[in-house]
Amino acid sequence: MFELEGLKFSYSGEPVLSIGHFRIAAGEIVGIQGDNGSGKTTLLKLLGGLLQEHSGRLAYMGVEERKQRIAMMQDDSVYVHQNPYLFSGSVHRNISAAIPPQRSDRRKSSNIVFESLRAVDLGGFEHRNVRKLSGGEVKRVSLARAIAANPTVLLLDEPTAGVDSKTTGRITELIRGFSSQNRTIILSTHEPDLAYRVSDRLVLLKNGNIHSANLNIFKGTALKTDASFLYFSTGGCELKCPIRKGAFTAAVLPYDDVILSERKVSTSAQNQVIGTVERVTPIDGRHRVSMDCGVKMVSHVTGHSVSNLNITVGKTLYAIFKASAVQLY
Amino acid sequence: MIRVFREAFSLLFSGDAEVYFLAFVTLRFATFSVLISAVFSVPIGLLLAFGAFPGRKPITVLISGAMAIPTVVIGLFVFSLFSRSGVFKQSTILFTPTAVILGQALFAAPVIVSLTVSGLSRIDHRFSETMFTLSFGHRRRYLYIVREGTDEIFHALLTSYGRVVGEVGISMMLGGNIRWYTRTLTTSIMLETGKGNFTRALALGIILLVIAVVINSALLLAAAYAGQDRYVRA
Repeated sequence: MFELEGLKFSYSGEPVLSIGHFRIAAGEIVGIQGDNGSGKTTLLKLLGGLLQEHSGRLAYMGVEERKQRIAMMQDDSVYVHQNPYLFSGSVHRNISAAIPPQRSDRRKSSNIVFESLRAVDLGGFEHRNVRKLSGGEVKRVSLARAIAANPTVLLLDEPTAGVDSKTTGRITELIRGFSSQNRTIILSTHEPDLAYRVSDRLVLLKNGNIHSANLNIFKGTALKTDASFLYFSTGGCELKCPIRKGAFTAAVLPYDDVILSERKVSTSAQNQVIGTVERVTPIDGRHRVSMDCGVKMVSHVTGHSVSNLNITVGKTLYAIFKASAVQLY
Repeated sequence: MIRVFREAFSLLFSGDAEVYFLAFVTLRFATFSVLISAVFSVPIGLLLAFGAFPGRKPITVLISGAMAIPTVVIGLFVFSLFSRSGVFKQSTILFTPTAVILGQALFAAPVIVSLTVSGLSRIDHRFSETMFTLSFGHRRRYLYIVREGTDEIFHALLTSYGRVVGEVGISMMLGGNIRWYTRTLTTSIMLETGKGNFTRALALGIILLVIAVVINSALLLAAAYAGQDRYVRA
């Protein structure tokens, strides 16, 4: 859907972004993490067509020509500010502003407003003056407005910054609900909980460049616990994890913590999952091995291991990792 | 000084028909000229503040500079258009209220345009970005700008109103200071000063001042009351 290559952006000559290569597929949920001033907002605005790149290549749906691409991005996406701007007046007025004129015959429009507000748990807020809303309510109204616009790409800048944990939970659910409708969601966040629970893929923005977070993120549910482990079900796998209390929906496993073996081994590592190698990519002096284990599992190994184990596409291997290497969110 | 004030207030409340007429004419000219000017100046201000076309900045600077044009120069310009040797020599509007209102509307235009542009430019940048990302078309965009920028536009109109009420060059050159017709408070002050009737001139000056302050304050209060719930700071 998005493809960025050698993209550069600067403010008053001060370079902010210098992205080598970055791709986002349709329907993907990508989390962007980075320090303050790392360029997360700039990147989101570039993807929404609110800013224009200074050099390099940015393609949207295969279209590179700037004017046409920006018009397409504007039509398809909605960018939600970290501190959203609400138009003066009522909540209803704000949300109906997002409904394209062709969809806005009065009754239909009111229904969309009502449904959007219900989605963010603000049913009955239609006639509230936006000035009287709390920070969390402002965020939720802006999300309702984004939903009402019915975008295929949702760009969220720190959607849970500065809101309480209850609202964070509500916003997380909302984003997940929205993503289930096969939309592309790109969000920047400081909060690991949100990043892991929501994202299919997490990237780091460092010195203006995109780096992989090198984490497997498995979506699923905690099935059961026994005396020793919590069992987390994801795709076709059941992962053994350390016992913790909570309603977990994501398990995170660093690429570096996954060992590859041709056979099951007797070891303290409690998880041994069989899978087929799908891709082997050399990256920064090591190799990234992507496997299909019922879920996508990625491991980092050295070139020496690749030749030793003769790792090639289609080969069956065991991915082995410790229960304590899995973090639950 | 106390005598001057006493005379001013006695003039104001004495039922002197000419003083009321002067005040009425002054306000009528100013109201019509600002309203007429607003019809074209506010849209120009909106375009310059939010439009994207080549030459936007130089035009804005030029119009801001035009705020400094002396009223007599505008009076002279309009006079030259409608005089016997002017482009509109057939027209008979010179020394009529129409000529004064036309001149004052031209005088108000750069003030309204410039203050509208600078006022709207101060609106939060997230406002523009929100309109962009919600794919507003031109019509909806300008509708929302007017609504969000009501205070800024109102202040521009009010400032221009204050300047028009106090101008004398245009009223004198295009109105001719004709009694019971085009004479305003400012031209009357000039006349009384010229006649050496300094006390009456000062009294009229105080009346002009009171009118300007009362009207400005009343409008500002009304705007503040109407707009107290307008802004959201997330």
